[in-house]
Amino acid sequence: MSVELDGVIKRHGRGAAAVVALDGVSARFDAGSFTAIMGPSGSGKSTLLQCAAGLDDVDAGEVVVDGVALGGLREAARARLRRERVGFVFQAFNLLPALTAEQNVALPLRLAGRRVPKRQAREALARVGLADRARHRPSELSGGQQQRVAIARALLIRPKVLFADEPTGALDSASAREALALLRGLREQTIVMVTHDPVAAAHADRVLFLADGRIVGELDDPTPAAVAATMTRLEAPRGR
Amino acid sequence: MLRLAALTLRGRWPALAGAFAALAVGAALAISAVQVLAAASGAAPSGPQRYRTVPVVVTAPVALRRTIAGEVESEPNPRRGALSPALAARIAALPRVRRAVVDRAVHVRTPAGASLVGRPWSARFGARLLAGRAPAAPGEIAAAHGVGDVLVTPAGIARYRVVGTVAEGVFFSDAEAARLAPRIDALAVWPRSAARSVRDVAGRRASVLTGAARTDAEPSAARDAAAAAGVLLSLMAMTLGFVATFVVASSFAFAVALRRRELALLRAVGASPRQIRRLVLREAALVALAGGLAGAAASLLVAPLLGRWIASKGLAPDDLDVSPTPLSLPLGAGFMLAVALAGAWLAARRAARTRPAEALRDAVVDRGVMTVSRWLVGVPSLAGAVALALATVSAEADAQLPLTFGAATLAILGLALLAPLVVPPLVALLAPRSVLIRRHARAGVRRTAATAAPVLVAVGLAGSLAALVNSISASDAAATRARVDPGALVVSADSGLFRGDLAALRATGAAVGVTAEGDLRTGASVYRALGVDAGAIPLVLRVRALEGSPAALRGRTIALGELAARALRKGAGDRLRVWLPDGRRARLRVVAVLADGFGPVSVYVPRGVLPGPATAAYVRGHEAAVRAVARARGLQVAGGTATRAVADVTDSSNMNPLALLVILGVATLYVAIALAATAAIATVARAGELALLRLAGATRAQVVRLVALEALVTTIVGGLLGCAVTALVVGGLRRGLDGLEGPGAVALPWGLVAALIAGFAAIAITAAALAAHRSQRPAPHLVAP
Repeated sequence: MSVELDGVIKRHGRGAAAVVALDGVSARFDAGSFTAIMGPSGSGKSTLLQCAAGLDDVDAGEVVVDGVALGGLREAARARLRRERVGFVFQAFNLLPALTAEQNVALPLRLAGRRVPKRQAREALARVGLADRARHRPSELSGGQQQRVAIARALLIRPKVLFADEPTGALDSASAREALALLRGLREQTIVMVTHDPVAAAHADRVLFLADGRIVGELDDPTPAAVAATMTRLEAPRGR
Repeated sequence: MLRLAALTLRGRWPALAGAFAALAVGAALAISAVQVLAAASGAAPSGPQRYRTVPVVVTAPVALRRTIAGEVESEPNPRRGALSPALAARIAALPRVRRAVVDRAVHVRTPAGASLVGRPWSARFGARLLAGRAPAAPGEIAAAHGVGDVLVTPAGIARYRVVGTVAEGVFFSDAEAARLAPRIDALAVWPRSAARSVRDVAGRRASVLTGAARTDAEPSAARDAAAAAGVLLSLMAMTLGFVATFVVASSFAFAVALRRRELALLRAVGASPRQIRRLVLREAALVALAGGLAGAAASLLVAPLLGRWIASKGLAPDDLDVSPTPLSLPLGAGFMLAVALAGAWLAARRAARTRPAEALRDAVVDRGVMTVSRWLVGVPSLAGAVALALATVSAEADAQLPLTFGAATLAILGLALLAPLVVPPLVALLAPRSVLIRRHARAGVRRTAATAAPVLVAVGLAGSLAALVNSISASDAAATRARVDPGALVVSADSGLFRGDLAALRATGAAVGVTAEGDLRTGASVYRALGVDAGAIPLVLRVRALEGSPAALRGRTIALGELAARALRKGAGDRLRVWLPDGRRARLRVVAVLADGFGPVSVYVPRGVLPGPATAAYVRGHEAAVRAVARARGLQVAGGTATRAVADVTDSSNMNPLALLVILGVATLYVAIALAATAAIATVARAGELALLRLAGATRAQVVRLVALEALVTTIVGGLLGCAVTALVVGGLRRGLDGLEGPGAVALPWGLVAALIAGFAAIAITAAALAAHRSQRPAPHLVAP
């Protein structure tokens, strides 16, 4: 399933305090591809992800997911999209603190009104290596383990698209490697990942560079060094 | 979704502790109210009591029938006229009538002042002789223990021979009863089958009562008291509903704001807006269920206490037995469930509208809180409150409290909706030098409003109603003082004064003026009337006449008080059609409009217009002699300008202070709970924010002081808004009274309002300081976000 953005503009705030987060962004994420989005802080990465996933409205332009324009959908329809076809992983605060790991994993399907047999949830947790922590609450899991539960949840609904916002930002290097290997191993999904870590970005097929709300560069088959070099160039003050 | 609600609730229950406590207390009170009401109406005797053994009772018409605008209205007539002796004789002579007994009410007094109703012996209707024999000769009576043999009768003070003992009351021989009370109250007829022929003869001149209708012929003090108890308990339920909904609404709005991120996560994971709304409402239902159970347990204790309080005010028998009834639990709990859902509804709607992306951003600042709908509902509410407040003075006595309640609640609603606009400037006013307090209040305006709102509700309600009730009594006193000769004494008795009493008073050489009281009805309204004879006019009508002259009160005339004149739009020379207390119609000529202010009496008529005995005599003369007469005849004496207490427990002058007490009690209790909970939770929720202050260099003591100061300021802001509500009501009263020529007083409840604000401030400060102290115990970097 492909995701396409066409001339998307997004402003935060009103009136004099308004900030333009996305200033005319056009991009296409082909089905089955793994794209990383990089950029300095304040470049609009998270906003881009949130608009692409339909978590936020755009002020101008269009977002099309699998042929359906998100702008024309009402909230209930967008929610359905998120239950069934779009998975989302955040940097932190992914899980409901009151639910156990397996209850968290089963959440989207429960919201869709479907009964989730325990076996299914446990299998999903086993795929991320946490089958023995099924009954534990988020407060009893480490940051890395929480992130893996979130990925398991995102995968359980077998989404067509997976959006990940800095999924390894709060993890130590070993856990980060495991999470990225998991994502890399997914062949059927379109993955769009926001990150500021060149090593993480190098796991993707393609890297898009964002600065001041615009796409300013693209890199295919990235290596960590190439990514880092491009980033340094972008972050350098103008005129040098 | 229900399971999700239960699970998330488990993690978040402290935030809803305030709502739980409010619902539990409400459930306890609501369930108790239903039980007490059931017990009180059960205790009120149903069915005829005295006439139980009499198959057919014939009296003067029991219902007032009036034709207003072509429609016939009928309502029970509290003071019936007498049955004509000619008609009674005709009925007794009917062939189908086997037996007919004349029933009379002989009002007598013991010298100690106790009032009794004596009956003819043949009208004892089932009362039995406990000892001795029946009274036969005129000088004989059968009496209960403690009545004695000296009685003050309409014919004078007389000593009787007690020949028999009965359980209660006193019985005369038939001839003596006829002499003392020539008026026929009712005719008891046997057998039942004669009813039809009696009706044919009586036509419209009498009511012929059988079966359950016989209760209409009996005085119904117990039933009236039960009805009044019902009104009071309904008022309590209304206050409960309003205040509880308010508290629950603030608690849930606040809880939803605290859970912004969690709700956004749910939305991001695929929950539709409707599912979020249902989640919040189901949580509310669960809290209501828990509260209902707790309240039901508490009601086992509360209901008997409530019943005892109601009985102590004379609205129910002393031996009232309050026990759990099967209906009380579902009714009470169901009521609180409705309150919980109503209160949580707005919060649920707002929760459903959270846009996931917005809420995921770390926005601690409330923006865009003043929505269009707040303006659309807030401003008309305030306008409505003003209108109701202005209408209070000229309304009927029974309507004044409900009007003030309505004005206060509308004003509270309006101010609460406009709070985001009004609260920050007030905070700036109170804390001009503290940047932190001002900024915190503006940024967390929802949190500030959640703490100030309960104070606004309690102070607004208490202040307004206290202002009304105290103003009414102050005005009554002022009006009476202005009207009545300060040198006069007022002599009265519970069931009225006899001719003999008046003669004895006149014999002391004093100037005696005789008055009677009653209610006159026009098409839509009721006016309290004072009937005065010629001697009373100089003693009790010493007010300026705006039109005409009260000296002309003779025959079929009436003098209007200024409020009545305005309401009726009549002046001197006009004619007025009224219904008298006994149901007869009269056309009276208006001879004067008096500047009598805002007092208990609305209109003044000549003594002869009002039926029934004299209620009071105003006497100016040798005080010692007058007091001696009163002592001998069992009468009560007081200073003329003292406000007379109305004996009827259900009269608005007695009910209003009770209503005030009920409302005050409920509102204060609720607000205390809400305040403690909100202040504590708000402080715990801000733990991260406060820890940042410590990282910047503040000590823990400084942070606690800041939090305490903020709590104080917020409470005072709520109190000031509550004072604004009171001022609105007082303004309405003032405006109404300004237009009057005569005296009227507005009482400002400063003491009450100050005491309430001080008490609430103490609660809020303590709760917030304790919460801050506890939440800031760990090192700041562990707590900061």
